[in-house]
Amino acid sequence: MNKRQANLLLIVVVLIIALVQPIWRMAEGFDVVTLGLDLKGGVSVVLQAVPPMGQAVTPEDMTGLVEVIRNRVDPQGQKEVVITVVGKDRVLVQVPGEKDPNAVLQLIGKTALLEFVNAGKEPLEEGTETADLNLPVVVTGRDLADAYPTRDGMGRPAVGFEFKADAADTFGKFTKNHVGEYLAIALDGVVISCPVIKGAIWGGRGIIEGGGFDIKSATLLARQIKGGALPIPVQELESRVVGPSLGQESIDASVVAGIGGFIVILLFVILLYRLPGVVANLALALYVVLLIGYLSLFNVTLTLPGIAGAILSIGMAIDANIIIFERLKEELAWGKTLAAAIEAAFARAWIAILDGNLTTLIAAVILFFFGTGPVKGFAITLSLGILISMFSAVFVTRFILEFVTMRFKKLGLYT
Amino acid sequence: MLQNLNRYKLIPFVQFSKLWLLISALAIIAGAFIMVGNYRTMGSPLFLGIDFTGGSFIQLKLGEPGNAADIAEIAQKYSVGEAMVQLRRENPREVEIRVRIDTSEADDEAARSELRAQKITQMEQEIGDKFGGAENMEVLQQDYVGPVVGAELIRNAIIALIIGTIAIMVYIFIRFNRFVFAVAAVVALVHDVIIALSGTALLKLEVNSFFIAVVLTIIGYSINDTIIIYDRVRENLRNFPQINFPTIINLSLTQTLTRSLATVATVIVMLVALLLFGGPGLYGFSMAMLFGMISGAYSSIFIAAPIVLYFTRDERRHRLPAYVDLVAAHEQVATGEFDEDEAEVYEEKKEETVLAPEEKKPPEKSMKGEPETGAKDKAKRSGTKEKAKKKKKKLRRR
Repeated sequence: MNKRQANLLLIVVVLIIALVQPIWRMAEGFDVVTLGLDLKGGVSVVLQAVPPMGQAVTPEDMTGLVEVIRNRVDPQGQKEVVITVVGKDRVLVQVPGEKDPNAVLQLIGKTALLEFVNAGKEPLEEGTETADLNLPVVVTGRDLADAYPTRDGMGRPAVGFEFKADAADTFGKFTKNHVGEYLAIALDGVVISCPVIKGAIWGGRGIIEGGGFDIKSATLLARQIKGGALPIPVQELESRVVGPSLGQESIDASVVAGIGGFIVILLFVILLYRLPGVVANLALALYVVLLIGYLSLFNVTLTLPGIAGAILSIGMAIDANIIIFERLKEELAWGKTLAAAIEAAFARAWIAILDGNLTTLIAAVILFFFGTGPVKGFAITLSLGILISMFSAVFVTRFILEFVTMRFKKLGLYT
Repeated sequence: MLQNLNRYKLIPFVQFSKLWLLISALAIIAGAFIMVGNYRTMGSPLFLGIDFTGGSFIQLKLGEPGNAADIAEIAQKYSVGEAMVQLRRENPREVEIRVRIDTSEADDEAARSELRAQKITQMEQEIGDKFGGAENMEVLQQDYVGPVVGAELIRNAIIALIIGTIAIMVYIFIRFNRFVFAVAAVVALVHDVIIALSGTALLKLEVNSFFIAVVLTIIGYSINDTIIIYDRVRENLRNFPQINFPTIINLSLTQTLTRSLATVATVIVMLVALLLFGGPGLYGFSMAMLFGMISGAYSSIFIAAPIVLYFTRDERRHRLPAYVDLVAAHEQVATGEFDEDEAEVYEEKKEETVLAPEEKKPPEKSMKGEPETGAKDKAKRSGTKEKAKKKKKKLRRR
């Protein structure tokens, strides 16, 4: 295998790798490139944990927070809700496809609802939803004066609680009248424990056992009940909602812009450089395919700024070719043979191209570290574009150009 | 090597560098005035979006064309401070509302969030009902940004800018090994950022968290042209040690002009396509980027290169003034074809061809360097024989 064949193989392999993922995704009916919420439509909220004075936020607090939010926003785990901890004390909640932003916000912000429900003669299984059963609620978490992690009679972790005075009375009367029946304890509408009432409970104290508590979850629930809210108070830092039609409009508009600009560049380059221009255009078309392919392969989430970056990068990718061809013109004018001129032009231009691309890459990397959300998406798209363009505009162009000039020896390049 | 230069007709960039700097200075002063004007009318030099100011931004598509004043009246009921309402010019059914929802009744953060969400829903319903019915209304976009975020964004943006600038300066210094190159490049970058900001202020484009991406991209990209030019300057310095520095700059700029313009043209093509078809979401991005890119192309040629010239301590810096037509004479010296008779003919010919277009130049030409150049030119010509011989010896020694 000579060097030319090896190069061809490399180009084909790079192309095939780029095509696998998009084709698979299309076959499976997914979007070719993962779309961000600003394009797909949906709700994204950033919450900031605000610990009480003198307390620090621990990683456990944050995982607890994520758990609770997940239970509230997506109890069945059906939506593609993404909840991630950002930095030390922030949570990003993304609910794609959600049309009613305010519902999500109210869902996240609502207080943890602990209910003691009269389950009647039959016990309710853990995980049952109480909302549709219309069972009478005896007391709620708001009636609790205190809640704390403790252990049950067998030494397993449990949550102890203490009622406020009037609730203690209600609870005492209820248990007195319903001995032998079941009491369901439900958190946010889901049964976590359903003990049998063994006798009247006076004095307003008790424990919640069962629910598969370990020390961590018992502590968490105790805090939730006491705080009446999330395990740690949060503040809504920002929330962004994009309706489904706006996202689609943005995609359509930017695709039109991308194709329009792409065609103008193709014409511009052919006009300026003739045959090498055609070669550069081939490489540019390959660039677009590779960019989409690798965005898909690396599962980069494409945001609106990201699309803008991708479109802009088409105009930047052709730069390397312009630099090379201008140099080639000069080398030819200086009397070199075509093969020598191509050799010299690529060697000389490569340094400048590398310099230029590295500086843009530096800017993109800095942007990635200091940017937030969509800005990061832009930085990734831009970086990927730069790397791919160095391959397509330099390596591939050179390959095709050398191939063409070898085949058609008498071809005048700029005629 | 030198005969390669035959084909270039040097463009006198360096001779007019004060003019180029003046143009930039005027643009920057104009930008400053615009920002001061904005500060007086809007309270800030740029039109800051809610990312910086905090508050809510709501974009609705109503059942029928809306009326800004009526919508503002409704929004005002829910708002602390003034509610801003804008109808989209292309489609008056689409309305943008900027408000700061009044949540003073709530006593903790969670309740505040909840109350805000409730009130926004209520407000949207009310506006929807008034224009074509709430059921026909669509919430296109609804953003809320808390007061903490803006300060953080500004801090991050400034850090990113400083690190970016320093990183690029270090990179240039490492690659070109001359401090002047790095400094001149950074001056050009700062220039581009200021122009981009001025353009943003002029058109009152909304500045959001994404603006930092625009600025850093401008920095990262517009340095490319500068690098191409530097690269050529370095190459020419090495290849043509007999040519003086100002002429090297002119030569390098002339040689790289087509590619500087072509590379920027392709990016501008994409930006214009985004402006025309990319929809309102990318308008501010494309416009600000366009200002920066055009400024970047200008500053690489007209700012970075002259600064390098002014601050270079190169021994060749002051030896000779910049010439437009020196190359031909040098060429003959270097190739050994130099013959005094022929040289005289050549010089005369050059005088006709090259000086003629210079006479057409506008009065800016009468800048400091110019008459001097002419004088030395003549002096050189009168003593052709001796000078040429000296030069010949000098060149051979190299």
